[in-house]
Amino acid sequence: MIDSRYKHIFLFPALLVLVAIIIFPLIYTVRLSFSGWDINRPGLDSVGWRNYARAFVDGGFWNSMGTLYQMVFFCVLFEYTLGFGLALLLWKQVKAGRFFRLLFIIPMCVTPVVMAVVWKTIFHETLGPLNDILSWFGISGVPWLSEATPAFISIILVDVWQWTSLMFILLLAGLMSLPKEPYEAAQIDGAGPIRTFVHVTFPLMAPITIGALVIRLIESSKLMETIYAMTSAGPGSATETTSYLLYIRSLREFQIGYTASLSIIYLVIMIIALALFAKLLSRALIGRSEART
Amino acid sequence: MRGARVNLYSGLKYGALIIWAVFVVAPFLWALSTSFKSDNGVTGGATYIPFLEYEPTLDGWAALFRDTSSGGISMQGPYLASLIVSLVSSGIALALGTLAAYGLSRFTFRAGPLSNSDITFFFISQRIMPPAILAIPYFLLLQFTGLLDTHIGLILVYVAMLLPIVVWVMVDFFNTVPTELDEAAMIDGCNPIQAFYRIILPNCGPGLVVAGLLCIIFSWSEFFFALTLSFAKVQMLPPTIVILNSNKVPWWSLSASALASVVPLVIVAFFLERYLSRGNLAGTIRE
Amino acid sequence: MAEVKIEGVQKKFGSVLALDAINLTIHNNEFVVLVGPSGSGKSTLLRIIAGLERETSGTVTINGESMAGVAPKHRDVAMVFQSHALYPHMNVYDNLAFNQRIRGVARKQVDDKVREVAERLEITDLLKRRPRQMSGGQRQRVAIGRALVRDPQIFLFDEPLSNLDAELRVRLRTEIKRLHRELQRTSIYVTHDQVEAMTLADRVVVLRDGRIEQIGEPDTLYQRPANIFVAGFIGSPAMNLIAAKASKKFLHIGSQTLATEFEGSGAVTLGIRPEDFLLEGPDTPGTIGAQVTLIEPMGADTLIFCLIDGRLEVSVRLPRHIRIADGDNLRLKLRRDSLHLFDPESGQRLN
Repeated sequence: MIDSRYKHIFLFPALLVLVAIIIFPLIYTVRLSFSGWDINRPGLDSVGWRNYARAFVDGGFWNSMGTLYQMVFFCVLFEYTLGFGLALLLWKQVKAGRFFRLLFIIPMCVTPVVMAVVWKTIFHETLGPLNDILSWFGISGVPWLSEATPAFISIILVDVWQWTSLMFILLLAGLMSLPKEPYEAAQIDGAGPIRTFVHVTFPLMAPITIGALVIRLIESSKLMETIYAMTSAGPGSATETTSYLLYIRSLREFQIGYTASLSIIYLVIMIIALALFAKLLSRALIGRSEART
Repeated sequence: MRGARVNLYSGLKYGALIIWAVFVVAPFLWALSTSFKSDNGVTGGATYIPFLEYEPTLDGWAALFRDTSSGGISMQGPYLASLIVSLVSSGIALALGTLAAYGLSRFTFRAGPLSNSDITFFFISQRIMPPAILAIPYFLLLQFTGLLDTHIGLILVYVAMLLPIVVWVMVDFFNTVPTELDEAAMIDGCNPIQAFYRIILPNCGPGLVVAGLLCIIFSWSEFFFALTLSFAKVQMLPPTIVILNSNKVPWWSLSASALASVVPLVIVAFFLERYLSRGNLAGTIRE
Repeated sequence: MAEVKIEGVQKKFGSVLALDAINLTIHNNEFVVLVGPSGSGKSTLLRIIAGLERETSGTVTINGESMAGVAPKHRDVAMVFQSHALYPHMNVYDNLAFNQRIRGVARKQVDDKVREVAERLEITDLLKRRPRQMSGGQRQRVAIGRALVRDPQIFLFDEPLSNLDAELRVRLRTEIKRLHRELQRTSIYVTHDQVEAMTLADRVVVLRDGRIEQIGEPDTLYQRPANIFVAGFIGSPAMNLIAAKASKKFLHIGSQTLATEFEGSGAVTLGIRPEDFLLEGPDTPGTIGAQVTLIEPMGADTLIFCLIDGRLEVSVRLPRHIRIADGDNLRLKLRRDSLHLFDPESGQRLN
């Protein structure tokens, strides 16, 4: 369409807000990362690269990255697989399909942190229903929140409960938008359901898969609220993710300058990792399905 | 034999759906049941069915209205604060975001080597920032401008968080509206702004509703900034509930308040499902 | 009253050249059709005239005034789009009235205009309907109505009939022609269908790859196409184009020879329309022999495909009562003054 003078009126208000409220604070954080602002020495001074140097040998920080990656991996894996499965089940006209769809969408719409509080009561070792029900099957006293591995699992469980519905919605929408012709061709060719899935459905869904995975990866990398409500990164630091660590170091321990440097390092790593992931995934999925035709 | 195979298959299908459905409602049912309990329903171990295993009381729910001084929770304040901040920030984000999305969909922008899709990506990539990183600068910024612990301060921050969502939904939506409509309007005598709000906008219903509902969900459920940027004068729902957790508040009041705080969201979920099943968000993701 | 002058207009999209060196003058009250295959730039040219695209270089003037930088709404043009582009959230009445209301015209006048146009196009009973409640043909009528209400100095049509089925297309085409005769407004019409071009136009502009191949009245284009492209594009069934050799008033087509008045020599492309063949009896002098390979009955005529010398294919149009069978050997005479000779390299007309 013809370029006009009006185009700036459309874009600029939003751009301005974004720049003011996100870019400037980010720049400020970079500046902070070069200062030694903490509870003993408040104020914007300059300590050069000292914070960054300290960050590289900060065991807790890198541990939290490791914990984060593990958690994100399992969460997104389960959410994607389960979400896809549910979407496939509800794809064709199903009795009470709308009822199920409505039910399944609820977890992602409710406040994560509040539901985490509810889940905490469920995971309670002596008074909670989970251990109670497990005891009917002969499994007794799982230390959900007081030991490392069970705590890890509990966080993942809650996240999967919450966000599988997002993947479900995205993937269902994707499935519904697929063209019918390849399926009719596959039917004529005599392909069974599994073969149809592997050779028709999955390749056609490739762009949607990538989009959904990237979205969920971005969101889950910020994993913090569930941990805050359920385990406070415990026991020890078994469930401490980077977001949580940044929160504690900056707003509880007030190591403002140092945490700023951690934030910058984290951001850079995340952006590179996400970009790489998206590129690799798209080459793997789309490259392959293009070759197949 | 085919009939039996089909029945087994659909039996498995429904079985799986029901299992997941149970998983989904389990926490809600547990919270509901717990909210009617009192001491004996909790301290002796897990109980489930009212009247059978424990005596239901309304203590939990009554506490919502009582003042904190008498051991209650007083949800009205936080409820109102969450309502105001959610609705206002969603409204502003919708307005600004839709304008920007329309601009990005219809015009070409150039800033050196960057163009439209880069700008759109810029908007959407803001979601990568964990709130934890922005906490300090925001804290200092709001303190400096005297907006700490105010509705306006939170609204400003929320608008910035919500813009990426609106832009994401609406850019794809506008891309599905043919440009002939804008062109017909301009030939009929509109300038681009008139074409936007007289012709294009009235046809945006579905997109706006979805974007708006998503905004409300995100802003109502936002926890981190509500926790760190407001404390006394403005209390939002999520931090209020979580703080109860550590205040040794009995399980029944806790469950009641948790449920009360998410009820509006369940209603929103209902509308969201309606609009999503009408429209088609697949295009939104195909980037 | 509007004269449109297009001088030296060029349009680039990035590095792609969509239009090059376009020079065209459209006279007052003329109905000009821009025709060509897809990608020929005809829609681009129309949109530049409308003001929806800006020319990369060159000038467009309407009534002597340069339109550089002038927005569409100030050019007093109305456009009918291929996809009707009616406003979905308004009913027909509001769709028709919109452009008047935008200009602040008084309510009574708007109503008069809308009703007058509705009557003329016989859509009065549709006034309360929404676009989605109407058929394709009705929508396109409303789109034309919207342009009529505008009463502009120039009507622009961008392939308005392409989305309609064949029967509707013929009907609306006739209506558009009738409207033009009544209203006598400068109109510029874009289509890829040469039949539409021939039936509607006062003058036809044939475009290909962003360049003008020929401008002229339909008859002229039909009887004296300026180059091979126009020759093959205009007329249906298409003109036969065969390789031949000319030398000293003789044409050698394969192994056969024809006497001619053409005095050039060298390789030529011979063009002859299927209906310009005459069937003669066997052994008649001055004819060409060909063997029938395929017969296509078309109703009033029959289209017969034959091979000259067993390798040069021509199509011949004969009245249906002439009985021909597969494999028959025909003697064909070429009607006088119906030979079109082109240079095979440049494509330009030679005779």
